[in-house]
Amino acid sequence: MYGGRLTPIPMDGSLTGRRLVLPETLVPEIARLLRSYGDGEAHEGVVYLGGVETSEQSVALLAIAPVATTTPGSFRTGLGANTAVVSTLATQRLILVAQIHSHPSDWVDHSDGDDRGALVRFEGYWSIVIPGFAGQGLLPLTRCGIHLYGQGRFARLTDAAVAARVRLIPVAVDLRR
Amino acid sequence: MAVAKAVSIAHVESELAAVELWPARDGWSILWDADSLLLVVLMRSTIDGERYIFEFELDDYRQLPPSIELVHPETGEVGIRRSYPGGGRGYFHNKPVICAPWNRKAYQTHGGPHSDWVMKNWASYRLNHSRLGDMLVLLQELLDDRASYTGRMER
Repeated sequence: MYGGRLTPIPMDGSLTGRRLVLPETLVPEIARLLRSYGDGEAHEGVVYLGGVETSEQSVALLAIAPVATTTPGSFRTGLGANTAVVSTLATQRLILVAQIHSHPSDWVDHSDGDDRGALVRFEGYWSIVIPGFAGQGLLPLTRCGIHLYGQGRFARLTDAAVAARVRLIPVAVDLRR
Repeated sequence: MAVAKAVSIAHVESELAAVELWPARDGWSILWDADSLLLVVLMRSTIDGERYIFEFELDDYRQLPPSIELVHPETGEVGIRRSYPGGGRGYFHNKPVICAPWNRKAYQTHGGPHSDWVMKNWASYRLNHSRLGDMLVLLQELLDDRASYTGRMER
């Protein structure tokens, strides 16, 4: 038994595969939204990322917190909640690029339950697991489990692959300094 | 529920696996909630850029076909002409309903126009559209069909 799964998680060590671009300003917002589930109690949380895609990378631009029923060990999106997420994407003219959810402990692999349920499971979709109910935020990203769907399964990026393929982009660069 | 939930889930997930490359190719956003057997798909017409949200209720699948409805992306209105695309080679019926044997709502017993179809035979009427992946691909093709697509059915 490996945490919440029965088999070892597939790993993706490629340094040149599909990339994920995260604006730096989005990162603390994602953590804040994840922590906001549970009405003051520590619960798992879930956030979807809308953005744009090219053949080589996904660019996240918008964090969406759906209506969800949460517990310290699970989350479940409510009936109609997914439609509201998709409506938001449509209104903003974005597409779904990732799902992010928090786990109670430092274990950030996909559980068997994560591989089923409400997860998005299509080529090029990202799924990110944040440890400790996102209490410490998302950084450094190697603390998180960053998973990419391809060839019929989710695989977790190695630390080297995360460093090479998941990029934090500043909101502005001042070249005059 | 006549079909065990786990059976419906297995059918849906198996059939969606056949189109796992399509979201990346055509910009679909798909959310599948196995708990509530609800599949939500956002598609975009390449002709005018309009976005359409399809909701597939999949209880009792595959004994019964999906129950398909459209949701307006900005107002959230469900099942009205403003939610639907127009044209679609007869599939986008102005009732409005997706007029196909693979939609429960097309049958007269469910308020649709067809009294001549028998729902239990749904999967045998159009063999090339009897799987979820094929239904989704057809819907995208209809949204991209310059010969028939007329934009949103009503403004």
